[in-house]
Amino acid sequence: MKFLGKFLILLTAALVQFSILPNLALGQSINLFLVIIFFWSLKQNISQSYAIIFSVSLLYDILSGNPLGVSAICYLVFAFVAYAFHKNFLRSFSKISFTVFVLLSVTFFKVLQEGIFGFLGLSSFSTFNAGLQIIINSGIILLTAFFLRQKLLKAS
Amino acid sequence: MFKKRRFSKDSLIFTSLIIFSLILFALDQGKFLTFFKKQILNFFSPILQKASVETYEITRPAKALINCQKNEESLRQCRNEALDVIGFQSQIIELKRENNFLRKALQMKKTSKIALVPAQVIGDLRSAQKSIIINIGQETNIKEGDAVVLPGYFLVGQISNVFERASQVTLITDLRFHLIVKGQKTRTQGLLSGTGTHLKLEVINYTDKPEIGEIFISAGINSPIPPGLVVGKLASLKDQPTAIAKTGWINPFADLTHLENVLVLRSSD
Repeated sequence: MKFLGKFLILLTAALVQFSILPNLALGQSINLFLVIIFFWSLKQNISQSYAIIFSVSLLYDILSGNPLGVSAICYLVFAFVAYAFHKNFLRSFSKISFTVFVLLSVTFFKVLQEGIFGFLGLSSFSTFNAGLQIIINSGIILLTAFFLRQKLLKAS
Repeated sequence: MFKKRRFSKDSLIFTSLIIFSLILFALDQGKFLTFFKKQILNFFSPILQKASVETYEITRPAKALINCQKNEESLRQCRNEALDVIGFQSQIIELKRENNFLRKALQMKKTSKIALVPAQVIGDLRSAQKSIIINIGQETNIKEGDAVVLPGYFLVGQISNVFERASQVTLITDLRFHLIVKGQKTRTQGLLSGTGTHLKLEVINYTDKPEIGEIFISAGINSPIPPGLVVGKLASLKDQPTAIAKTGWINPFADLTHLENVLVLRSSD
């Protein structure tokens, strides 16, 4: 049941990403998928999340017209690294360390994504857009974390 | 000797999913999954389309409001520019009257042999080269080298190829376009060249001092393009003492991005 709920959340995020966000100002820079996966990586049980991330990422690739499996690799590696970093290095949830952690994770994802897309010749890299995406997505994560801090502490 | 390294369940799932992703990527490259992808797209596209249209309808008033504010600003600018134009027009009328009077006094004949031929833009080759296709050709007696303008004699380009019922026009921003122009105020002569996106001006005489905002017109030297066609305004000028030539950038008056109807200046022999 929990698995299905998680799957539906990520599926909805993917659909919102492709239908609603492009019509909003700065909507192109928001990555709901990334935000949700980041919060899942803070939880203890990530193996279940991997399967959901993988399956919805395939749909993400189909809808965005990317080669199948590319987004799956990006998001899986992102979830794995964020989880490992959080589990091994982030001892406390102090504001500064968490902010640095968020910024590093989102930047890592962007570099990884641009690297893979660049390698496949699909990237139209722009430093401004990449920077904007890092700032906006980190901001969304930090704002959400601010409102969910009690739950996060319990989950970790 | 060797310690057995235990992989956690998470790492195993992660690794297997990455491998599976790579396999799917390889299969997708081989076009083996096209049918499967098409079916999924067919299923989700109506949902995405509906959601997208609904959001667009909801956000439209806000977008319209933002556009309205932008339009108001540009309208204010246009009003100011229109006032300048009215001033110029009254000067032109006076000058024409004076010119006619002097011509009569000197008993000169009218020398202008130029006719305007209207044309419609039917093709756009801007992705490959900066040129457009217009719907008139050999039947209207236009020739290669004839100037193409917008109403108001704003230079757009030059005919580069004439076919039976169509012609190719090289825009002024094209890399192959070169023209000698002169400043209306300081009479500075310079070589205008297209850079693909902008207009570059190289001042011929280093001692000339063109002014920013000065209007540049065609000089009619070494070119079939007649003199006096308006090219644009000098936007910036690089004047370094160590440089060989003064270079500047000209903002064209003609909006080259949305060309629909143009005029060809047909020069009759």
